[in-house]
Amino acid sequence: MPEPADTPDVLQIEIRLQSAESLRRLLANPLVDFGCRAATRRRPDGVVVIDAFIAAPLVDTLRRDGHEVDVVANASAVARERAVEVGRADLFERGRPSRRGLVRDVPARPDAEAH
Amino acid sequence: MGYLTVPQINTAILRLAANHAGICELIALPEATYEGRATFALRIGTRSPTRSGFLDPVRLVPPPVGVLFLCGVHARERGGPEIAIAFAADLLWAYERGQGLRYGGKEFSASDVEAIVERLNVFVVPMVNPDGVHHVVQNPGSNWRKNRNPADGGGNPGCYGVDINRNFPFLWDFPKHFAPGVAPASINPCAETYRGAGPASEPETRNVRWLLDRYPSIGRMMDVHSWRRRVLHLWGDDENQSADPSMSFLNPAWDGRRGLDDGTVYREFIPAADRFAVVTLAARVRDAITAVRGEPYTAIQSIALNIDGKDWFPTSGASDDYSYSRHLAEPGKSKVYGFTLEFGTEFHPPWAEMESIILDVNAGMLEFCLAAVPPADPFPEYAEWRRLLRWQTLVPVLGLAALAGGAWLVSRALAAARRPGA
Repeated sequence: MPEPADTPDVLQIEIRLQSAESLRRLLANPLVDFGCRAATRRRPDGVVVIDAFIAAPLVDTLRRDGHEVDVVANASAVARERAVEVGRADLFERGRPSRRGLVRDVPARPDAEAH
Repeated sequence: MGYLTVPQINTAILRLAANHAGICELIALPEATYEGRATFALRIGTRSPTRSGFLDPVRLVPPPVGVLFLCGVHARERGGPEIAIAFAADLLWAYERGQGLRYGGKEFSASDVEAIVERLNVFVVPMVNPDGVHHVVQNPGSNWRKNRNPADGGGNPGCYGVDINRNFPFLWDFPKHFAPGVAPASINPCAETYRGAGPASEPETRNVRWLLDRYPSIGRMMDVHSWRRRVLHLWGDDENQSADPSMSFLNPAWDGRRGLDDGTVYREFIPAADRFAVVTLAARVRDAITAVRGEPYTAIQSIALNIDGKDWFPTSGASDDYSYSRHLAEPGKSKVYGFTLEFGTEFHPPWAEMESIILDVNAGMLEFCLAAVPPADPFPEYAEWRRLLRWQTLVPVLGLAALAGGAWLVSRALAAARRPGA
């Protein structure tokens, strides 16, 4: 089913961690999406951040709540751009042999028997 | 190749099973999704699974160990189904030609491949959540994670769906089991971690449970997700401890006290041997992945964050915890070491990068399998007796004995008949 046209884009953001209490409030906020499982990390500039996703209009709400938010990318736009790589080649379609994967084979041992 | 659509993924699964009959079985999972789609698994292995832990009646060796891979649980985490398809295709290809496999700097010998196919049953579910994957293909900007069950969405399409990986029956009722304020899942249908209307309320969840019930030989499970470049091991609800068995998810006395970040109130019990096993295996998978091209994966307990190891993000209803918890919660269930692998650095990498990720993860999956391969002969001291006791040996021996006995009886009867006065 197509999404409604007015569905907002999803932004990938980094939220700078200020205190244990602010992190706890963030984790309890159902509108902030921390991906598969949340994880913090230290950026090259030394700042500890937590990665998250949020609907674009809600970024300002987070900032008003006192969180320091950096927008990393428009995740929706990136996914739309890469959608051209979806479904462009079906190597398993009827009549064709199963593809091998992408790996290089290791030559069989001299004493190995094919099964 | 590029990312596959849902019909293409299903075609790939069906073709793999058809092209490799005898070592690759197609398993149709019992429940259709909300939108009516079928879900499939592949079983790779030359030996059939058994319903029990008894010895193989033909070979008189233990039954093949089962290893289960789940992919495509979260729809937006693109590449999971392709990882599963490439893994199965390569493994089957290499086995049939008696060859090994090389993933960048990580190599598996022909003997490794043979051991995996002949001494394990490898179960692969390439796409647990086909409705969600289809939705993402149709709406790439949607960032959709959950399934497509509209029941609790209140008519708002943005609030459809249940997070399958918070729907498993492990501490599912988190407001009761966890400390106040701790949010290992969500009761809000609009949240990405919405737990659903009940434990295992979703057909996708029940399909996974069915596999574990149906094939009790499964002893390892890996749920493949993205992204963080991590191999996660048990437990996900709180820190691990091996000293107090009563401090356990089974004990309601600890309800309301789990999931706090100080590690002093509650920690989840795991026997020391199991803890060692899961930590060791996670590290082994990490090392295999890193050997491919040097990607910096970490092996870490599921609950821990990367910075200072604080346990601030517990989970409830997750597949890894559920698979292991079953043997503790329900006597008679098999013990399954559950893991979660999070690949890559974004949800939808460019396909060129995804090809490299597939190599990384496939190497980790093969290593995961290799670690589960039982010894060729677990009781070598009895090998000679077993050889003598096999039916292939016993039938001819007993047949000859029966013939000899019959001949002896006939000769006795003839001798008696020739005796004078008989």
